[in-house]
Amino acid sequence: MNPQTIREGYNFAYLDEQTKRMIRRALLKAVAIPGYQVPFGGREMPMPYGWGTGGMQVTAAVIGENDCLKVIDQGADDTTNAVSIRAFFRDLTGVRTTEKTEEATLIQTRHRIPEKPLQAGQVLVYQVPIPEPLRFIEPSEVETRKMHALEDYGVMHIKLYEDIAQFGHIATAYAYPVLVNGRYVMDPSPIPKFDNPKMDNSPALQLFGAGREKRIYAIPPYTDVKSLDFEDHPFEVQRWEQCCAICGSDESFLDEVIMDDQGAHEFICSDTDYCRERMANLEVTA
Amino acid sequence: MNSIALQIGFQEPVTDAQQVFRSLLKVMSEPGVIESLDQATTLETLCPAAFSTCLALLDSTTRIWLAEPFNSDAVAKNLSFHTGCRLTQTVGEADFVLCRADQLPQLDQLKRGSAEYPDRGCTLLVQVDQISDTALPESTVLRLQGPGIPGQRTLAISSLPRELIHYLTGRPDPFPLGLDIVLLADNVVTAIPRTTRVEVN
Repeated sequence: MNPQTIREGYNFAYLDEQTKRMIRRALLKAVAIPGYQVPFGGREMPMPYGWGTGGMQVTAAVIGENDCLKVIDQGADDTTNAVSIRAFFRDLTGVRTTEKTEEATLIQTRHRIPEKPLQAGQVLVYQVPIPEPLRFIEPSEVETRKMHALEDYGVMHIKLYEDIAQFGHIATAYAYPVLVNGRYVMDPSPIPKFDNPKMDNSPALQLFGAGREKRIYAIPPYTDVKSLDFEDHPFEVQRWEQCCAICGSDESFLDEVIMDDQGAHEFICSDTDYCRERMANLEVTA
Repeated sequence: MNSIALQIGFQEPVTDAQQVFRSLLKVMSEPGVIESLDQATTLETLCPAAFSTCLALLDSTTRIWLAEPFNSDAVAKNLSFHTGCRLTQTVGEADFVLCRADQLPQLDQLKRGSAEYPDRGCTLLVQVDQISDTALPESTVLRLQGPGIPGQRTLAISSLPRELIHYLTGRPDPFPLGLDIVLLADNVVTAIPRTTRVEVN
């Protein structure tokens, strides 16, 4: 690694060492208590809240010279948020970056888990807007802390039941609550529920950072992560009748894209790396 | 008045602290995995792994309690100089407790945090003679299960005191309360956080 590539006047990975230590201590407690939200002294980052300041602080505390970083926004490597954060860390750490899921040792993500299964040794850092799954039911932090302490999660099931009563099925499609290691109800960040099963017993380490709310939480590798459901309404992921208009995949998570002002639309893979690799393989076999 | 020799801490403070942390994150999230930790040297009776861990985690916002023989002037002064950590004489208010396996404090006096804030419990750093994934002479072989462990993992620790074995197998604190234990020997580290279920072979 060439230290000259780091922008002058900044510490490695932007944050000062004291802040990194504080975040690191919070991360160690977070992995020791899977799904529990550890408060931390969130810092101002050179971008507004809502753009991934929590994820960036976790990444800055974790990243080292030997890492290879991938950043995705809604699955895509080439959108504003992903490009900016990737450039930020390339500037301030000099680490290698990649768009290939299997090459990355560290992946910062906004609202998706890559389609390609993660491997042991990889670290996935989620950007989290609202870390508290009970917040929309109970606005008081004192109360939600107590509810977590007492495992008082009945209201969460009531919220899901209200969906069934109103729509006939659980209509929650993203930020679908999960139970981690049989103990803490956790917000998986606004990933589509399509991605929830990938969290269960993943060989990769999953870290979550919420910058505005100043919370860090984690799921160690090989940890039970169960999406909440009912015996007669078991958890189900989204399915599409369409397949990807570019690569033809019928297994990936699809984004609907409006093509013109006549209402024409197409569905394409949200994971750009997955889609591109499938296209490359199709060209080889063609 | 004897002057205390200050030792070099990390050669590369930023890089070394990050690497030590990544090893600690690895062992805390995958209990029983053994990682090497030799970014710092030996500090008097403190092994390289223990000194490295202290340098990476301690600062002026953390309180540490040192057991015999670590509560010497040399260790205390060096830790204070390099990290600015606060030394405490009251084991119950320490964020980190550093001890040798044969000099454990009363475990029930260590800070546990509360049901609302279980993260405020103490991290127990225990220096032992040897850590291995296969049985050693005079060692206790532990079978670990829980988060971070696919199936089960075996860990052998030499001369693990009865008190600590009782704590690990009995788990007197109801989850989410509990001690997160980092085991350090020479230049290797492993950890047994509060979620790990421990059986003795």
